[in-house]
Amino acid sequence: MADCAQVRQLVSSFQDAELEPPQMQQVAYHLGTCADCGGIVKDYTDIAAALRETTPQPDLEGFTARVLTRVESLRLPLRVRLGRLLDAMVGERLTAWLALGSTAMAAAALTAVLVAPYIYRSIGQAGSGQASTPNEPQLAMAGSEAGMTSLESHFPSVAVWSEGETPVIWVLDQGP
Amino acid sequence: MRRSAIRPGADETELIERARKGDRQAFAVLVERYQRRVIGIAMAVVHNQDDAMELAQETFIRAYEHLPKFESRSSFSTWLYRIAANLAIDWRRRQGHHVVLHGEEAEAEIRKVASDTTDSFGAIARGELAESVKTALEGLTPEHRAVILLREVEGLSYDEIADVLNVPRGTVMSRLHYARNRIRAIIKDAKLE
Repeated sequence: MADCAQVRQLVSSFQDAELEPPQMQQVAYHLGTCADCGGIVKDYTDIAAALRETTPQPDLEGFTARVLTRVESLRLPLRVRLGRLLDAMVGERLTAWLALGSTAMAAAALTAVLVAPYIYRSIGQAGSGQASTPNEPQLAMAGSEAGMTSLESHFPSVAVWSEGETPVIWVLDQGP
Repeated sequence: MRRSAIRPGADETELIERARKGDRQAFAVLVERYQRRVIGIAMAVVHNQDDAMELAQETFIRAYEHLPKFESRSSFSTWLYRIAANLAIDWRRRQGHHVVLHGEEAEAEIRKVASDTTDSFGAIARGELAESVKTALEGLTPEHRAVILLREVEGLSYDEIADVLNVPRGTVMSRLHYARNRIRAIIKDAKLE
């Protein structure tokens, strides 16, 4: 159990209920049995009451107005004034529009990055499919149902391709 | 651009943001909310009402100037009270010289005061006690006076006092212990005379 010397080191914090629970219990138990230490707690209580009684309540009338008067005469740093002026003139609306515009630009850039390879591929495929002479076999045109998987021919009058899983052999009519 | 009117009971974050952008009406609401406590904190240190009012005004001016630097993640009230406490302590130090005890020296002083005063105040008249306490308060350093008034008059917790004065919680405990026992000792010494 705590003795008087130990309790007197703790009684101030006990008064404020700022000790750990086990210590609060020990001090409370001791104070219940020791008139001298109990007298110290009473003195602390009397001091607290006297302090509250003797501390004058401030007169707040006009305080805010005086503060604002001083605020209005403040010379703030130039960058702070410019920042506040910009906010006041333009306000939140421009901030919102700028945010929207930035988002739209970011979305457009992302779309361009993602779609560009497909566009490039399509342009490349369209260019290599063009025939140079009328007698040469034509590749399947874009949009047709025939899937030209390969074009094999050692002869200019013969072409082979596939339509789905069906191979097709094209032979130029040589005439009678 | 015309600013929208401030709603009654407006959220503090909104008020701070608007004040940060130069909205003086928003700042006025903050002044109204915190003026009493800021004045109380200044009074706790300087113990003179006129000086406390002046220091409280200066506190709000400093706060307005440094609002752009205030980080919303910390408590606005703690930040404000800290400005008030620092201004008041600096002002008080400029008025006089006070020795602040630290470490073992302080511990010895506390033990001495505690062990010498086993008798309670007894039947001292209430008015007489109040005057004695007021006089005894003047004998404390600004740091000790601040903690006991912030605790007993403003009702701040140990953690809140530690935040405002920017000291460890243990320092608050030891300063309170010292201040109470010092006041007690002074009153008893006066009673014995």
